[in-house]
Amino acid sequence: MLKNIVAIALLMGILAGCEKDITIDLPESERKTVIEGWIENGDYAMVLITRNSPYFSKIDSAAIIDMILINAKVTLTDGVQTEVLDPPPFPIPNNWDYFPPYVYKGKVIKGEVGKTYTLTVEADDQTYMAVTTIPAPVRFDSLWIEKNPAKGDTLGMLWARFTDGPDLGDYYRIFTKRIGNDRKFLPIMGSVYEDKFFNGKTFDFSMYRGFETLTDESQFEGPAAEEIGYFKVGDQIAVKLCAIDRAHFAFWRAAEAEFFTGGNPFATPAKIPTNFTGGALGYFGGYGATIDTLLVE
Amino acid sequence: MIRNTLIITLLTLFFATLTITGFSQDKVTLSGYVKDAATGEDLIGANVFIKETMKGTTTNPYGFYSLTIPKGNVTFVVSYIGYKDYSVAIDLKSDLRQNINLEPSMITTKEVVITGKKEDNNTQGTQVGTFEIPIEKVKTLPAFLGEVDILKTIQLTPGVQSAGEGNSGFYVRGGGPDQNLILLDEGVVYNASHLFGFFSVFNADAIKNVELTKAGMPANYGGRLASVLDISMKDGNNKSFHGTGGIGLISSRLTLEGPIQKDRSSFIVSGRRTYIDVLMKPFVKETSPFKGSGYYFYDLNAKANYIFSDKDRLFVSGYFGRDIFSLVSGEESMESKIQWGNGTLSSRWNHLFNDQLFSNTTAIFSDYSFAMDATLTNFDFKLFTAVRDYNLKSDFTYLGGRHTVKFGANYIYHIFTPNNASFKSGDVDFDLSKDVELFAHDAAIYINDEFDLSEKIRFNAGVRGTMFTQVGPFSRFVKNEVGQITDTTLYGPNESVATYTHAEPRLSVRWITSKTSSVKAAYTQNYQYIHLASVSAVSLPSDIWVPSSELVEPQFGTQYSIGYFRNFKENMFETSFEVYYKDLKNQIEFAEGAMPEDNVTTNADNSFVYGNGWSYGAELFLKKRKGKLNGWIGYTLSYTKRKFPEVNGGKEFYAKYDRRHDVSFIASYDFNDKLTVSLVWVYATGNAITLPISRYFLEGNVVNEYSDRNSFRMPPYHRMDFSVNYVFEKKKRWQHSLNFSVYNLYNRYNPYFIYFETTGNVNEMNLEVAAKQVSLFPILPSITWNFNF
Repeated sequence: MLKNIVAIALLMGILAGCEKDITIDLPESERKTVIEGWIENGDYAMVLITRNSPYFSKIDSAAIIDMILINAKVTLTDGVQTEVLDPPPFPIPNNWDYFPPYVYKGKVIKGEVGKTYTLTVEADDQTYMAVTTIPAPVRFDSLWIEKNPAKGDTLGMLWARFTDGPDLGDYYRIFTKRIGNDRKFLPIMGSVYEDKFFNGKTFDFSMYRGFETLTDESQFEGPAAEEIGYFKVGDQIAVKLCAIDRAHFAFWRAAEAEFFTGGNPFATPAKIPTNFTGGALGYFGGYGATIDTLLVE
Repeated sequence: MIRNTLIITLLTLFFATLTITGFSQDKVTLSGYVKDAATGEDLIGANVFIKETMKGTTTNPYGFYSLTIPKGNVTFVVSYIGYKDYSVAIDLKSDLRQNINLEPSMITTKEVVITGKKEDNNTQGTQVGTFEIPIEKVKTLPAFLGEVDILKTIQLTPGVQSAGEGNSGFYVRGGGPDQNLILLDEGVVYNASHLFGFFSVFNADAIKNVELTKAGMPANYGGRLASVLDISMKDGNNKSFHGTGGIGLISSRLTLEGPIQKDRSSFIVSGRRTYIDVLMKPFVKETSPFKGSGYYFYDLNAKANYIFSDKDRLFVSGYFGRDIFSLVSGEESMESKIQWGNGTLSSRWNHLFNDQLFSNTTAIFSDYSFAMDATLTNFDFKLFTAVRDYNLKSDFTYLGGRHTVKFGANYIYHIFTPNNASFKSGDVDFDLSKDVELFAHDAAIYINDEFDLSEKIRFNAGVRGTMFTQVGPFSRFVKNEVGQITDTTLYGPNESVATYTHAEPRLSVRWITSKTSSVKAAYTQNYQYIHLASVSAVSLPSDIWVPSSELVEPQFGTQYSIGYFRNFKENMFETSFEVYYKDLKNQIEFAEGAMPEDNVTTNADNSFVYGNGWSYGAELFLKKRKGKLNGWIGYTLSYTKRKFPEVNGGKEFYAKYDRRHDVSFIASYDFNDKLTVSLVWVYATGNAITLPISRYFLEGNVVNEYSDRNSFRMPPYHRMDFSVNYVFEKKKRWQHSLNFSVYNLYNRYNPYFIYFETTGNVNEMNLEVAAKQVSLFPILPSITWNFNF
């Protein structure tokens, strides 16, 4: 609702307004460590470690390499076993799935439902620590595609029927992947949900296909723009529904709000709540995942 | 305990003043109403005085005056700007009722020296920070898109700030927009703007008088910390039938007024509607995906009054206005309708107990609501937020010789609907609403005495006792650390959730230092029991009003103000210099990172954080009151800060409307009766904003990391407006005038907001960010045709 009003206000601004480039002098920002770490049931942990960069700095391959933290010691424990995650081989491979393309990966501990994991990152004489759990996975009741007549008969929206468990305090994150088209599972637009609005209910809802990155402008222009959010006839879709814990939910809820409203002058800037101690930004999150597939016909 | 002390103080003060004034035997009372001879409208604030002694008073909001003076031969004078002076020699032997009808003068008479010298209210009165705005003056000033706007004119006075274009509300001496008490015929107006602050809800054609009090608030006002904007609607012409209207670029207005029964009763009805939507329609293509979208607002004012006798009068007045926005998008099968607005209804009964005791009893209903209904495919979302007041008020004014004592009582029953949301997917209802309505009793008693201690020193002292209780039915949801509701405390109907009782002392002193100068000081304490919570960085019509509760303590404000006032050249020039310090306790904000959806399944105040604020500043004012060239210059230097333990890491920060420098310049030149040219220039330090200072990546997306709260400034805001007002010769009974205005004369690109544009694609390892400033209005000429008959 608020977003709508903001959209209206923005629209007015754009309609009536004049725009010009300005120069802003920003103070030098403190360099912080950013950790993205996750572990899914049946899979090894993956961790990306970067640093923040000054706001107006230009990003090119040299800057990206400078941003990556390569000398970190990353340790994962499930309370019983402990392993040090391997840094990737150097140089960076060309066909990479994650940005930045430098992933610390586990090879001993596989994610298990119900277990608690602790990640410790030691870098630049600092130690950062975060804890997460893998909650019990759940499934969609059903999944289907509904065509939008306004978009012709080739594009459709993904729908699901879902039944939430009886207890309050369930959190979810949803991803999709067009098999053979997307490199990895991509979170849908607005990918996290909590059950405080629908605890114990069965209901239908639609999902907008997500983006690999919002920074790719070509997807918002030309014919590609028509397909934003939709799936096409012929797409084979894998839909991943993940149960996540509260801290993990809180992180993504704030982070996604920031993706979409970041720099929006009407939004109050907010800090994204991290579950790391020691002053790092980012998250370490567990996913209790189930995957369903369907074909768009 | 506090309550007892308070009542005793009030009673003592009251009886003390009565005994002081009551005994004098050789004094008589001269009293009555002052009216416009042509229309029968009461004249508010007219000067009434005895020429020989220069002792006098001004008429109250109902045009009533009462002077208690020694018996004998006197010259009685009544003067009011824009009217011919009335002067009569009277041999006063006993109490006398004298109703005065003042003849309006031509505009040019403004430069004729008025017989009486009672034009020095600014130096002689005890008011420290008050400002009256003559409506006729407002109408000749440059108008944005042709819409005459009282609130915009208010913002041109020192100490009052706008937050820039497109931001509703005004800010007085560092107070928030919710800390202004805006009264229309005594009914509270909760949101005084249309279209996110571009226009005010007050239709100037229906308004008689506007008065702003920003310091030394007398005890008859309360409930807000920063200011009182008291607006009186016209009563309607009780002599003959008349109409006023105008056609402008974006709206048209029509006002009709006339007697119901000549000299006894009258009515006035006034309406205004914008027609941007109507004008746009032909240009929206049949095939446009947004066909059916539109925006408009309208206002209706109506008032009637009846004079039963010299002792009793009845007024009924009302306001109703709505903003209506609809958005239709065929492609997304989306339909959304948003409506918001105010409604007030006041019934007032004036009664004169005797020549010295005036009373007014008022019953008021006021309402503000925001409603949204949106459907998208098979989703249906509804949101409703509102505040509704039932208000009973009794005010007495005792006009003794040396004392003017005001006392009275006020009771308000508030019904708040902070959030009433429903969300449906198909037939499934989602749980959204938890607090449907909140109820509160809000009561006050006050006494205020304005009296002369000596020839030179006048006091205005008062105390206001207030009590506020939030009552059930109410459910308090107690959340655990992860935000789940673990416990609910239930309160039954009318059971107290929280009760607050406070005494609010008010004191102002005027000390005459010479014939043309004075020093005034004021000390005020106020409690505010209702709070406006804003989720975003700007005020939106969907911002919610909440009562003080067992979690939210009342806002508490203390203000110290002192000023030097001096007039020059026989009151042709008025000058003043004022400084103030203000302390604010228990300010609220939503917690950092709170999302709009956070307060839908719980009590809204569960998401608040609390802190304090303070502001200080200096205001310089120079006004040329008379002559062909008239106008004013105001300059304000101010600092406004906030400190919240849970905001900005506990560090103090500037409020977003902290404004270091604020300049207003207004000049009008009256060439003759017909032609007036005006120029307005404003300059303001840029708003305090929070900017991203670094960024990082998450899942391939850019995330901003922000600076300390409000640690940057937008570029300064400045703008010049210009207007030409031409009044045509009156033909039969019709008179026409044209107002030609140019907004933003030198086409300054003032910052509306700053945003950052990212270009490139991280997956291709290139990305650049540029800062862009968006401005709203370039140079905008407009023309409005006005008429009256």
